[in-house]
Amino acid sequence: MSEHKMGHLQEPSTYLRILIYLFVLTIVTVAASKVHFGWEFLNVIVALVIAAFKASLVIRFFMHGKYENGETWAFIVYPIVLLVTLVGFLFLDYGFRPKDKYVVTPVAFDDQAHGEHGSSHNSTETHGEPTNDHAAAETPAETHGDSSDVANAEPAGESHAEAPAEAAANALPGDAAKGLEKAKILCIACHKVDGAGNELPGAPPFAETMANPEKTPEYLRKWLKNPAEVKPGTIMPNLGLSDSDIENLIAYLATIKN
Amino acid sequence: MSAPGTFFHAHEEDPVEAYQNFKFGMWMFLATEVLLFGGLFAAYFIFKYRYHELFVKGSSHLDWRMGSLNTLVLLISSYTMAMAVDAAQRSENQKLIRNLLLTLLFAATFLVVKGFEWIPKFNHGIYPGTDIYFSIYFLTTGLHLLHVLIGMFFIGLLAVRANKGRYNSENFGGVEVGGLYWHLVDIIWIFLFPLLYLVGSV
Repeated sequence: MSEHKMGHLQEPSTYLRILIYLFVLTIVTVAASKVHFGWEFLNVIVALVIAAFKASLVIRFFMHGKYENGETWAFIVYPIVLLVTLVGFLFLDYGFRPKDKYVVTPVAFDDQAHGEHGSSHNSTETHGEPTNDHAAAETPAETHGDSSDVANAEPAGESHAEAPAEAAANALPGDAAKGLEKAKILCIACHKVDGAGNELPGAPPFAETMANPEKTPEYLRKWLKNPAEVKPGTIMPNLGLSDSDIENLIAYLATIKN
Repeated sequence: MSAPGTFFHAHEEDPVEAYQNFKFGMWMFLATEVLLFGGLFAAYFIFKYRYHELFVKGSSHLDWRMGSLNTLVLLISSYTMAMAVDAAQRSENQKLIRNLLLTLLFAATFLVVKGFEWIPKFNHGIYPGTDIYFSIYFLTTGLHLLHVLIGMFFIGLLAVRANKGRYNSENFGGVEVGGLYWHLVDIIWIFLFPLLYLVGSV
């Protein structure tokens, strides 16, 4: 409190002047958003800077902030500092991270699969290179297809031998109806199930997945158990499914194939 | 200052101190409001870059002209609210009531425009659960809308009290504190508008 007992009077024309500034700045924001700056984040930053300036006009003049004391300003500034820190770090993380770090990278997995088969025809090759999986993941030449089409990208086209072990591995002991019920609860967050749910980027339609002959029940079993083990860096989460859930889901997915 | 029915009647408090504490309390509350919306802004930026295609697709359903119109409407309502506080400070009661009612009118206009945006979306089967873009869109604009409704309630209350001759140059804390809340609603929209309508697809 200085000379005045309570509050401060501003000239009424000040409010009108501020309103006109705010109108002009709104037009500037719209116009700036139509300009294509070379750097995509500049549009967002320009929009935020203009918004911050508009907000400061509202705070200082409409809210009489310019007459407030230090204690009040502490409460104006501290949430802004926290917010700028939070969003600023998000910008650093998402804005400047190379795109391929958050778009799913296809990874060859078939060496591992053959290792688990226990078939001997290529065992020396597989066991001789335990780190082959990771090496493949980092070598562009080893990845297949374009990176957005994750579903069809990973297994290198090793032919599928007609071994009895493989027939057993591809059996479908699960209950498709129960699998569908489970899918409607779990998968629907990212995949369309029975025409309902989301379709997020990196989560291919089930029909597309099942049309791929590489997606055998055995593959799906490993995949659903722990997706990240099959494809490091995949967007698909580990859903913590029980073995019976997995069998039911695979049985359900097999019905889509037909 | 401490007229019966205000927050202060139970205390023997200096009116000037009471007025300052009332305002300071509102500023502290507004700080928490900024952080509430701040969490949603952070979510917006996370999902914007994680699911960029959905944001490009989703924001194509928004009309920047509607957003701009509502921005101007809210800015005018902030102006009339500031004029209401000014009138109370000058003991101009008729002008105070007129500006409060004008503020209510512009707030209602905002709601009508919002309705013209939301209802066609519902008719096209676009809901908060449609995808992550529309979850963010409906959550941020919906929470803002809730603030508009709460603000309208308090502005209405101020108008009723002003009509009873409650406020004058010695007692205008209620109008000023109501104004602080209303201006925050305007500030939130100042940020929501460009992020959703203008650079949502960038």
